[in-house]
Amino acid sequence: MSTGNRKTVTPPRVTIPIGPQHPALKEPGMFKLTIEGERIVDAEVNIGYNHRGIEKLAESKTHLQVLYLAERICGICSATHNGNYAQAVEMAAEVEIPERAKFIRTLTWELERIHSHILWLGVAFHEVGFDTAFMYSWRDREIVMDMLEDLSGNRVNYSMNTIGGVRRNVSEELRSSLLTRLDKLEERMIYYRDVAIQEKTFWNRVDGVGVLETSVARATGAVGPTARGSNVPVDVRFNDPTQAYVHLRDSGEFEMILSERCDVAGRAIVRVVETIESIKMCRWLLQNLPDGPIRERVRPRVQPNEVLARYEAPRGEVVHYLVTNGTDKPERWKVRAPTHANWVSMRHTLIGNYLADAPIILAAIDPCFSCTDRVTIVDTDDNLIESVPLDIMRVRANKWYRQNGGKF
Amino acid sequence: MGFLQKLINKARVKSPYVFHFNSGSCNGCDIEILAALMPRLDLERFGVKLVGSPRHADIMLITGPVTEQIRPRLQRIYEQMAEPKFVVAVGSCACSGGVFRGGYNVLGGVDQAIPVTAYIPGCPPKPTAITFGAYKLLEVLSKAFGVAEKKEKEEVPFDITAAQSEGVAET
Amino acid sequence: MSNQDNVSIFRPALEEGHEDEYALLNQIKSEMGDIIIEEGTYVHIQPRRVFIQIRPDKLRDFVKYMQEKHGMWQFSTLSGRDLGNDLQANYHFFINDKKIAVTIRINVPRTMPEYQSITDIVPAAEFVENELREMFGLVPVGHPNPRRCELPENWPADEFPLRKDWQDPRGLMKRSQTTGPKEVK
Repeated sequence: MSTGNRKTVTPPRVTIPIGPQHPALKEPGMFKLTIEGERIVDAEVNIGYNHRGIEKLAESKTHLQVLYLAERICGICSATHNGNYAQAVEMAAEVEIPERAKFIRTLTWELERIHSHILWLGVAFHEVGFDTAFMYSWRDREIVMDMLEDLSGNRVNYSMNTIGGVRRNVSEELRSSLLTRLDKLEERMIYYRDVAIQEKTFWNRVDGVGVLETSVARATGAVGPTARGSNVPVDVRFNDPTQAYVHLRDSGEFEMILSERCDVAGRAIVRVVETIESIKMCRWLLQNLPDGPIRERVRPRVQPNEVLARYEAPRGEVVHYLVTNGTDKPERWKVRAPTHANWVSMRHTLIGNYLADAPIILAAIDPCFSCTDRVTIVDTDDNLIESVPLDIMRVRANKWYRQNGGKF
Repeated sequence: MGFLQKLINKARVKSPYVFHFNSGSCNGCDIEILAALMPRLDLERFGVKLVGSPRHADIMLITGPVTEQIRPRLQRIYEQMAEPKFVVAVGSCACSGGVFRGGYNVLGGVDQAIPVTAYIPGCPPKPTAITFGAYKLLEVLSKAFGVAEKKEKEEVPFDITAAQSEGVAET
Repeated sequence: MSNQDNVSIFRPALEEGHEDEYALLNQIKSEMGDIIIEEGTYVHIQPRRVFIQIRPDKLRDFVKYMQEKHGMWQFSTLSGRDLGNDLQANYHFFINDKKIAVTIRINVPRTMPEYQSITDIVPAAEFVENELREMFGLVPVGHPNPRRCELPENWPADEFPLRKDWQDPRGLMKRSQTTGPKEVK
């Protein structure tokens, strides 16, 4: 075959729908990626597969019932919505809850952040084909799950918060046991930080991938580690603190974790370092736990008021806008989950990257882009339709990297 | 029953492939299913393997109360599975709609959309409960396929306190 | 219908302890006073919360002014409310430098629920404006990418589930309360 017969062809534009079923995303989405050759040139996000009508349902329930409904918005950040709704009702009723309740509430939130970030780290390792570290990190995640179970009585939906305080106290034995286990957890997290930074298997797949510039991150309203990985200082814990975060901020021992890298590696570093910071926060909270009651009585009928309760969930800022009307039911309750804010920036991070990097970029804004997704490849030229599970797509991605990346 | 059929039935019970589908769940059940597959409980020791495609799967684990938009997708995926197929509803939402009963966009339970073989209640069920449910299903299946192991001795009721004192069961 | 018409939900704060918030609000009032509606504009009793009601046709101008003058780039969310005769859109922003959450709201008549979209100046509003249109029927005019985002594809175009007068005409809420296996074709 002579080279003279060859001609340059423009690669055809191919649209790849990914989704809609994601096993573990709170908002199952569908991503339509348009690719040219290996490069993604356009991306579109469809959401709404998980719309359960919670906001309407809440208008027919009392504040105490909504608390448990709020918890089931998302199973990974259940304490987030539960605690944020409780705090919104307390703000509307203008009740100050006891100091000890504030500390225990914040402790649950921080432990939840640790479990969520380790979960994300495991999923990220899985997406780049590093399954050993995936299994390792999920094994060590059980330490924090056990801590949460001892603290609240359940592994996932904790129901720790109630309107006016928390439901369970922390005994002295539990306090010392939690402190011991935090040491163990910190040791493991430092190990994972070193693995994430030094292990080439992981680092070469995330270095320089999925770049989200600082200006774009600001304009698209990115939140949480996605924004902080792009050097945007948004963290409600420091900017608009409530509960015991006021004390944590005033103690001056903790700082917002930012990264200037702007890529997936930056987001990974922010999450890992933030986990270690969270462990320190938990230790500080347990060591400075004040004495006193854990619950304040709040009347079920809440005066007419409107409040905007904000809290930094593991994935970013959660906003609850609550309007009360003097009855025991909410008049209007709006929830903005952090992932909802990150979909807009998603498009910018995907464009210009390789298709092989799409799983890790999708996973980088939010954890749990897990293994049972189904991808359909539609080739516009050949009318070829092929259904591929994400597993196989990942295998292909890793194979492609072995052939073309060559770095590891 | 021919020898080959017997072998196939035995293989079916000994290595069921499961497929996980989220029909509008809150993730709680999903991470607990994953936790059941992780090193601590390791569901894979029963031969259970998580696969990514419904066409490979024998058992579909479904979480969530089935939202209106996901229902046609769920039914299509159920049709894609090869016979014999079994559906396990994991979590309170999948069993009955749970806390979302009365919502305008949910069906209230997986059995409103497709036939269900087994239910695992709990909000969310603990990984141990999921393991237990999966094991129970395998037991029932092995009886149904006629490949259950012959009982050699009398079944002794499981005594948790005795097991704990011997250090067998986790405290 | 609730008793919102006779009880005010506004809980304005005293100036003491909320100096930063009042300084911001007074500056905005002196510079953009002609487009601010007095009712619904106040400093909330909760720390770091300012609510500003403006004329619906001036939303874009006001957001641009806030972005240029006060560095208001962090967009939180958009929530709707049904006030009976009016529909309300609340844009929640956060000013990161001053650490104050600003809510800009507009009232749009129910008979003509249209207002100017701000997605081109605040890209983060793309999804939430679509969501508001579905849930409340508040139409953002000039939205670059209007499409269905939350509700199922077969949802009728004239039903808005979060409006207070939506009475569930197709019995959907009753349907989800059935139990037990259903006959499946």
